[in-house]
Amino acid sequence: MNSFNDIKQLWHKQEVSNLPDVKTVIENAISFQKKARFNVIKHNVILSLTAIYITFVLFYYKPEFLTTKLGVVIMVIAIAMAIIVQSNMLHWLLKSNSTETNSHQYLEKMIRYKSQVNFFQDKIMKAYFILLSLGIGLYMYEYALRMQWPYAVLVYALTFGWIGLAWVRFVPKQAASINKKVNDVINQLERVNAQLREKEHAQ
Amino acid sequence: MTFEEIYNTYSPRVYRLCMGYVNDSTWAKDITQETFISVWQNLGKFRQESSVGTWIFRIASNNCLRQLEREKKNLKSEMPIDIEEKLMEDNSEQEKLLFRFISELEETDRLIISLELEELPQAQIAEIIGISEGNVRVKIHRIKEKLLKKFQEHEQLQRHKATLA
Repeated sequence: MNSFNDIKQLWHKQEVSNLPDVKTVIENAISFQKKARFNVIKHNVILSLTAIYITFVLFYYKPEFLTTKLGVVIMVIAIAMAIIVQSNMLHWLLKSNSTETNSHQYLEKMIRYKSQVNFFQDKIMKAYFILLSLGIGLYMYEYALRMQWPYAVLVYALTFGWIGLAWVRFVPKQAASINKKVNDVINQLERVNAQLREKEHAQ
Repeated sequence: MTFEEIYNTYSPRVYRLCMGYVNDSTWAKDITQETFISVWQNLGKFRQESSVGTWIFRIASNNCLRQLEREKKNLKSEMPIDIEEKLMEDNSEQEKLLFRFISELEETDRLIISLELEELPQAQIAEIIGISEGNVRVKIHRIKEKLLKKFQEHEQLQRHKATLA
């Protein structure tokens, strides 16, 4: 190999076979679009069903206290937030487009987007637990009043003991694993982006 | 230009760019397909501020960079030598070496040299990658030197092995 022209010749010698034909690519594009549309519909259906169920609970059991109703509403909000995070709707809401930017801008957009996902995931998970605990606490109040006090204390202690355990043990573990994954990607993106920045300064 | 014409003209070129980036034919085919799905979906929105070629290579380059999101996959440059040698039996050794040497470069250098090998003007490469034309020129010069050096070192090693045998 004596010159770059030899390398160029070698590059163009490469056989390009077995690429899918144009019909297959169009079919895949259409099915991809359908799938994306179905995902949005699926999320809306899940959220609507949750709301319908809660309204049903409120109307069917007719709780007397405002605290019970408030508790249910707060729990719905917490569940809706959990669905948003778990179903990757954030991906869809914040998605960056690869067609209109150059690679340098694209990397920077991806870094910003990943940091946003990280931030939202962290905050929403915390808010989910706080709202869920508050909702359950308020919901239980009406029924606890009807119990004898030792039972009421026991039910509250068990419920909040379980939530407390999840808050101290499971939530930090899950959050750490999600954060690690996203941070690894951010680090990779930053490393590659620096390849363009550093050399630009060196000019 | 219809989508079919675009696909027939650019898909082998995009595939080569992806091969330069990942050095894995199945993976490169996947990225090529993802690229043309994006092209198909956005063709109506294409504003013709740049040429269709620049636009397609920009989507392909960004899709290559998106592979950073995937779990770290082993590139063929990291394969043990015996597996690599088996792979070389059915295809030109020189070709395999070229892709291995390119895959050993930094990510953005892989894209830049693959675009240069596809004979895109340097102004277009600058537009795709998002750095100045001067910077592209300097980078290409350095990458060419690196690649030639790798080939020469390899040839020397082969000669050395032959004399020992």
